[in-house]
Amino acid sequence: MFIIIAGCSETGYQLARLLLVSGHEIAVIEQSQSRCQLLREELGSVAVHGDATNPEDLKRAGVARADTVVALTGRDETNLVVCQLARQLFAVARIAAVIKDAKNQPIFRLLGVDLIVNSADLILDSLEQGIAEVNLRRRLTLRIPNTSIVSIAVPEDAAVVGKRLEELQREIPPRSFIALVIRKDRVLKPAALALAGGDELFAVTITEEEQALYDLFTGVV
Amino acid sequence: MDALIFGCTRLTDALTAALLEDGHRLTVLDRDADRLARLHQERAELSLSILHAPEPLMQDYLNQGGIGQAGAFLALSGDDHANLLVSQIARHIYNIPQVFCRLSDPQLRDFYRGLGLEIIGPDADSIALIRQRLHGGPAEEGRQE
Repeated sequence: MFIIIAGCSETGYQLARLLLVSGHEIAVIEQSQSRCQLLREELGSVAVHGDATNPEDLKRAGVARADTVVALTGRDETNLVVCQLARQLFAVARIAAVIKDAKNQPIFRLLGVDLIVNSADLILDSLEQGIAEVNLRRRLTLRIPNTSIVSIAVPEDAAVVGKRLEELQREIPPRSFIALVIRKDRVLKPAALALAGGDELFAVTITEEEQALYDLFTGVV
Repeated sequence: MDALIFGCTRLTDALTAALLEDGHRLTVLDRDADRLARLHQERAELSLSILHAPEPLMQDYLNQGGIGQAGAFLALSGDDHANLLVSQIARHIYNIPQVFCRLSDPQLRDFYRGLGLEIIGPDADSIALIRQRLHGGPAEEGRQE
């Protein structure tokens, strides 16, 4: 496969080396002259000095016969332009981008980017594994503006323990609802369920209501 | 009509004067607090709000600025790529009827025109065009609102 990496900071460089080792053909486009020089010494002639949002520079890197373009410039807005040029102007089959703002995921998806990696979420996920007391996690950002699916872990001493979700209906923020509950590796329907410590609630919610939802299900008496 | 403007530039300055005159309510959003303060000083009007958006994470600020209710969205900053991101969010995610995107790179202009975006330049012609499209230009006074 022939893969173009647009923007070659540390991540781009590591990816380039991995792909070369796996026998793929690559080109990297890097805007900084000095960085590009460094990349040439490490990777050889595959490093192209240029601007990946300039169609001429993309052509010089060989975009016309590329199977995949990966946008790694470090700016979401620039990555989106790279992706759109690659797809619409050069009909590249597979487009991938790394984004920093999870809320940009819907527009990238809508405009046809095949693989969207959200760097902040990846880092947060890893950190959460090792840090206790993180009870709310954003699981999925939906296409509807501001809307996502979150999970909330109910602490053993939470005020809601023992209450049924139907009883709590009036306290749940208006644009949020609990979709399911996971208890001891089993998925349960939420309606008539009495909550227990250790339950994990999956809720559809909007950004503005996340805090209220969190407070409701993790607050101690 | 309510219009949200991304970017506080010289074009913004000239355009806000024209659009306020036409009776539109404007919110101007920018990362630079000083530029916003200057604009606000020059045009202290009730129908002009400013919103400081210091962080690169734009979407929360677009929400705060009322993008959900806006009848028009104008991306006028000096940053082509940022303009493209926010104006495509305005168009495709929020379905705002009138979206204008300022671009200075001629190659990008051609490309995005081809994708159906309303592209404008930083010149006076753009102001006339926008006024006309928002139906608030001098020729049609009294029709709007």
